[in-house]
Amino acid sequence: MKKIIIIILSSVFLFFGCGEKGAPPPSPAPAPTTLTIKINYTYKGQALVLNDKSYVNKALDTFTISNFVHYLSNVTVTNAQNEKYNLANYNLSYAEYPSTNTIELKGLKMDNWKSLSFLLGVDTVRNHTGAQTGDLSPSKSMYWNWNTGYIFVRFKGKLSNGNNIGLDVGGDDNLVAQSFDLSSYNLNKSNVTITLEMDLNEMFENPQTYDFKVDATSIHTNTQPEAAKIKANMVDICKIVSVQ
Amino acid sequence: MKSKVVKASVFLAILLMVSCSKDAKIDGSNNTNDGLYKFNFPDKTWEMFPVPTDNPSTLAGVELGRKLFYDPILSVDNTLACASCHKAQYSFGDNTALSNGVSGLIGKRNAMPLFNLAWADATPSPHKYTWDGGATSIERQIIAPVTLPFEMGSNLDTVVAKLQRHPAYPALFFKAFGNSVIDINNVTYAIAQFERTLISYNSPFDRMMRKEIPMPQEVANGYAHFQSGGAGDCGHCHINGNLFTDYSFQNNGLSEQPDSGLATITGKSYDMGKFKVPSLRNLLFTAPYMHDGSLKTLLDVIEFYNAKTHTNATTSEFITKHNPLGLQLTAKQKGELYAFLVSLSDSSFAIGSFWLAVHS
Repeated sequence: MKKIIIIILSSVFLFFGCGEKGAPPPSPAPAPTTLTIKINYTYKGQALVLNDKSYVNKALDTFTISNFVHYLSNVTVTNAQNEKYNLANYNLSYAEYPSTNTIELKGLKMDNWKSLSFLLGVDTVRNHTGAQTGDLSPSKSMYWNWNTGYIFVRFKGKLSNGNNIGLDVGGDDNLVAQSFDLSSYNLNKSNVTITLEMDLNEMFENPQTYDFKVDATSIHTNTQPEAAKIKANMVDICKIVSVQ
Repeated sequence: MKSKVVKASVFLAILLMVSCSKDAKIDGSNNTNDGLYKFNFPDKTWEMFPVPTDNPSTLAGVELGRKLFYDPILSVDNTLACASCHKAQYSFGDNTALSNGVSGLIGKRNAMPLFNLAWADATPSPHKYTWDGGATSIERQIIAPVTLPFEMGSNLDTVVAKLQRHPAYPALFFKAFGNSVIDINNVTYAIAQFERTLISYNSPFDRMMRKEIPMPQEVANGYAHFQSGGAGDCGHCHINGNLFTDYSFQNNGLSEQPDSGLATITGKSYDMGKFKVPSLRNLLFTAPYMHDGSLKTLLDVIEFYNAKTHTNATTSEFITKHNPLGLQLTAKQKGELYAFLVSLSDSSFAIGSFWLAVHS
């Protein structure tokens, strides 16, 4: 008799022990939606050419650009009822590698989304969570090891006088938030592609003219005043080109 | 009665544990039930590298790759194996600046140590392997040393024909790839599978970070210099983390008239003199240093970064920002940096691999 009880108990344990804890019964899944964010990098509206093309900023510095890398995280959409949905993404995009310039975000529920926002950088919580994985892995070389947190935006190039430019912008105070009104677009469909233009000239003007003859050619801490200057300029670095 | 309840509970607990265990048996071996090779990592801070879907590492594939790596059959005159220049006791590098190829010919690059290679595949750059970034995958990298006249000097058809005639290899290829007809792809696939298993993670510094042994103050100070943007300034390229490299290509100012480096591959003037950033692990075993083996000792390397770097058109900003004066470390700081760097040398990797090489 006791053996039977044990066997029954065992079966019960086995049954519950391996079940998915707290999983609700499956409900009809909403239509799968993919939100794709595509980034076109430009300088003064022209497609960015790395290394081989010289650019001029408002302060009349002439330089080439060899590298532009940035995080794009926390893509969030808001519907007409002001309900927000944060896709909690952390993507690292390199101007050099087109495969990283398209971010596909799945699992968004279909709705007529009215606005879009994201961070050019890593939110404060994750910025101080320590070494993480995926695009947040320190092996991506965008992790500031002497000052906890991530490099949000990296710009590298060379001035016409031969001096190197290396601007690493990071630090909670230098996080750039972007937001866009989507109310004129129909987003009530299952696959939406939003194409953005990111114009690197915007790093160096409006409201503060960045002058490499005066300002740092090398930024490697979050406290350098030039980092805040670039952050202030970057507020309008992105614009929407198309929504399809 | 009470003891029976206890027994029943224990029984149930064991049942629960066994029935819910999804992980492969953790026994320190690389065996799995499905024949795949289980890579060993010390803890969760080591993120798995990507393994190509068309060439997963299997126990049979790794064993075949190991045999090929140590077999001079791959060279034109059966005198040199991969392991002739990538010696286990030197962390799979060589202890000479430039190694002798077949017929005594030499190239112009130092034999790279081989460990923690596959994390390069986690980078978006197509330039991943060899000093000049000429190989996009470990598999493809293997072609060059087999065929270059100043390395193994063979040709691929000959290699395949020799392996096919060999009494043992066809069966081993069948075991690894399900086909005893050998092709060159499977030769490179097997060696790549073996090379992916060369993972070094157990240096004294790792053990200090895992709090298994105390960190001497000298090492802690050296680690601080390494990380500092001011004193050592090493961490931009040899990034802090587990790998101590970002797998990028940089001109470190070694020479006023640099060897073309990455520009050999890209044809771009802005890549002149750029070479793969090597890991700082296992430096005790990998002298001499740099892509040309021109710096004999680790102290020479520190002194180089301290005061002897050159600036030219493509020199990294992390070098040029300190020039022309260099890092200007004090003798004490240099000693501390040395202590830190030495602590990254994993003798269990070098000695363990050497032991395996001798006994297999």
